[in-house]
Amino acid sequence: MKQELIDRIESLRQEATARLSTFQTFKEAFDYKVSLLGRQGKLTEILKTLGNLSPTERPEAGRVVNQFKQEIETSLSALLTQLEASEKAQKSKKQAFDWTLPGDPVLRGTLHPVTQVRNEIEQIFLELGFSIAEGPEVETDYYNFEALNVPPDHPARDMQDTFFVGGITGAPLLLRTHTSPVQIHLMEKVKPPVAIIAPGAVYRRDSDVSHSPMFHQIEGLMVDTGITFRDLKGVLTLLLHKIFGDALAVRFRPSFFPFTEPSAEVDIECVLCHGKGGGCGVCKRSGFLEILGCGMVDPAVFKAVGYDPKKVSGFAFGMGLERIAMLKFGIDNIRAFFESDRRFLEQF
Amino acid sequence: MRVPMNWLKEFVTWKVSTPEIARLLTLHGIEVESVASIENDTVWTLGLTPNRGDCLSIVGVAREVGAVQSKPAVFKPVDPPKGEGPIRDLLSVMVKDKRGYGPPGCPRYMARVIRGVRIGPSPDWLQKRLIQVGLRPINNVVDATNFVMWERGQPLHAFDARFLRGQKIIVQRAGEAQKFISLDGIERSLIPTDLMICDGQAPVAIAGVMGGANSEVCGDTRDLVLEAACFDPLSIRRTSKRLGLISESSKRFERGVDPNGVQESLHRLTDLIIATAGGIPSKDWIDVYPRKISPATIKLEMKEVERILGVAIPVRVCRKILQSLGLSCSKAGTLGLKVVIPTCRPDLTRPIDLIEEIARLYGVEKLEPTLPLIRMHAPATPPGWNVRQTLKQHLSQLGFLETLHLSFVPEKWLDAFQVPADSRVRLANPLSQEGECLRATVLPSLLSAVQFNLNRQAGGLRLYEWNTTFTREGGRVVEKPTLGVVVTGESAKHWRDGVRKNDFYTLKGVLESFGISEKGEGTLLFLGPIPPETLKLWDIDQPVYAMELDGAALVAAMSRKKEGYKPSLKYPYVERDVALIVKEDLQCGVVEESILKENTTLIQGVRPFDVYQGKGVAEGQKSLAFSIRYADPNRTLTDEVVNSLHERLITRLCHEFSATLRK
Repeated sequence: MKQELIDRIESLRQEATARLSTFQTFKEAFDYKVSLLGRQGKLTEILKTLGNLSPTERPEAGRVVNQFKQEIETSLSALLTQLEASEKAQKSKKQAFDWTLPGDPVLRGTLHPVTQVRNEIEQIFLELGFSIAEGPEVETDYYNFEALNVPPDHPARDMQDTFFVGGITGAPLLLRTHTSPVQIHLMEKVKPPVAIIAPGAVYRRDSDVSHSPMFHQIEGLMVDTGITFRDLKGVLTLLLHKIFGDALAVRFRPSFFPFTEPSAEVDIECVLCHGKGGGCGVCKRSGFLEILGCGMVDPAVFKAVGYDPKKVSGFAFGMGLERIAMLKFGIDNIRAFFESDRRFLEQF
Repeated sequence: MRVPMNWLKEFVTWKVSTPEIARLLTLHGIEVESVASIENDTVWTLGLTPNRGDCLSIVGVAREVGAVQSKPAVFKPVDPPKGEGPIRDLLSVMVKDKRGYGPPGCPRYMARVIRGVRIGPSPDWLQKRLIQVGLRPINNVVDATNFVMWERGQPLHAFDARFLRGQKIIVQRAGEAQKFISLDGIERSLIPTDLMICDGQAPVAIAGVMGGANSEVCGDTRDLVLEAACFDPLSIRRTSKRLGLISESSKRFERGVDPNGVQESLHRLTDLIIATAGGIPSKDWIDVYPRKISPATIKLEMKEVERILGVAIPVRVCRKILQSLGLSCSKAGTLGLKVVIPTCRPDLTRPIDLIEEIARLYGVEKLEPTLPLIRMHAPATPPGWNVRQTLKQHLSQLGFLETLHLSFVPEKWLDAFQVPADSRVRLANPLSQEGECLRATVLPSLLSAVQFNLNRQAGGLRLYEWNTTFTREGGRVVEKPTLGVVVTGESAKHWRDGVRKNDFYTLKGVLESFGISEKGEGTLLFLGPIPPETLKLWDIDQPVYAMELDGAALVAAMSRKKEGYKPSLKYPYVERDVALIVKEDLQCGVVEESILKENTTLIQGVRPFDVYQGKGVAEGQKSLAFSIRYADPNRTLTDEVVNSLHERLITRLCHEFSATLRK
């Protein structure tokens, strides 16, 4: 009696070992589980007969049966989990998305490259503690020239050929040729210390591949006691490194502007040939590109706004935004900024 | 200013290579813009700043070459050439004050006569020099005046003595408006204040600008009157500017020539003419120089140098720098210098001018950069700056491209947008008719952008521009920030969404995203389709929708403080839809408002979700469908309450708008 039962278990074990590896689907494996462990399953039947054994035979037979039951339950449950998971995976693969189709359209506009450069420079100066000021584009001769130490009939006026507003009686109005008048407006209102930048449109009667009759400038002014030419160099070098990268060579070259003295022009290493010159067309073989003009505020300008040039000193600078954008993005025609070609604008 | 090396070498030497000297000059403020090889010599082109008129001469450049080598250039004095016969027998010169037109504006006038010259071509070496510097050789006398001008910066003139009536030269203002034919054969209109060189009867030259055709040296000229003078820069500039006549002479005079260099230049010219055209000069010469101009002295404090440059340059170094420029220095106290400024440097008048000279020759490269110390403070931005920044970002995120256009517009654009004639801002000197006015609205430029892109196969466009508009109010020009937005066409086809139209409702959506309703809240200048007849001006034949907003009002509307916080509802809402068939001209907003009025506590929102005309809806009518959201802030709404509310609402709406329910 006992031996017969043990033999049946053994044959079930052999059958199970053979069959378990053959199941392909969850259903096959599950059906087999039911055939063994279901209410009328073969193993269940055997368990029911355990009671018929004699008390001496029962413990050993019970041990064999239960051991098998545990074994088979463990392997079946692992198998079922595995089959279920692989079937699910297969199913979801069938319904999967085409990853190569374009997603829903998300509109993306752009800021004008000049705005982007302006924003970048404004941000740098705000972080350094400079305020931002703006001023009118239509100016009087006084603010655009006279207060900036450019008296009437001065040859320096030829540096900036001017547009005038027509039909005005009284003091003539002109389109500002630089953003420097903002300096004067500001200094007339506040006492030092002053640290501002003034971005905006400016106008000069000039039109070719590198000159537009309207373009944008950022003017900067810092006035306090003890501001020196070295500070000017420090602030502008920092700015240019932030815009074009820390490794960029920056060169200060003496120059002349009526409203600053000493004055300098700032060159940066050519963005194309990296200062080598050679046959470079961008920098005309010099290895350097003019990027901005600057200098120490001329005492005559301080006098015009009622500052004492013996007590305070300061620096001013001005740079063309289109020029910087052209160098930064490799644009070779200034007109591209104002043509509004979608294919141009979309690239920024 | 062109400088041939062989000419320069006659006045200064250099030990380093020529490219190195060019680099040094550039780094110290005299920019060598380009280098060329002309007629077997290296020729520089200098980019001179307007303050350095003294460098419009070989001698002036030589002085700078000396300075960058810390070794002042020394020039040999020019001895006066010998001659025959006293000049008073041949010529008289008067510098006269024309009453009512100010002083004559001629601090010094020198003249000498040469008799018996032979006009002919200049020798090759001289012609070559002139060609190298970009001047056209004419004849030996004219070439000599140009040559000496280029060498010494002193403009010179030679008259044919035959044509000076009364053997007289009178320097005076024109005194009356008159016509005068200059050397180039062009008739010039003079005004009373123009400074003229006259003979006994009438003008023979526009002083410092150009000689006259009536006294020109020509092939059979035998006797010459040479002029070497110093004129008032302002006067010369005014005349040259007004006549649009910028000559090599006027360029130098308006920047200031050395009144004490006139004499040597005259001698040099006399010498050169004798050598190239023969003739015998008068024994002496005329020199009208009533008030001698002496070199000025400037006192320079070393602490000022340090205060501006940020570095203490020893006094002996400063002294050496200034001396290398030919300025003589003496000690003033322990930490100061007394500096004598030669009259060839009229640009040096103040201590700061000397500090500049020290800075550029010391080398701005040598000044170590520092960062200034500042007191902590909150940087300020202009009014509206923040809102404008946000707004531009926002528009770009909505798929709009930012554009910028020139402020200049043709008048016809302002006509097209009915800008009143008296508020237009016109330019007195536009570059062309296309830019004769300033923009009074940003829309025309945006239409140009639309046209440009449609011509280049653009399908849909969404563009905007934030810029200044200009209008006249009386004698003032008013500048206003303005935002313009234009849309046209549609997006490219998409596999899931199809195409998206760019039209009126696109703009309405943008406006709503600013938190502004169709009422505009004082911001709206324009919203809607651009009329087809306007579009014709830009050759656009597809609908374009535009919106223009007053920038300042927009900033104000968007900066308004939010009105506190409203807690979210705690209880669930119920949504009920209703579709009404109404007259087609009934505006959705009118119905919406009426719905909201029904019950201000329980109706939390209403949203139109369908507008339909066509099959199933009678002609002249349309169906408007709304989703209405009911919720009670204090309890969960029951179906019964909602149903009875909704029923009552529908009944009232049907009655109010003569509407029927769409089934």
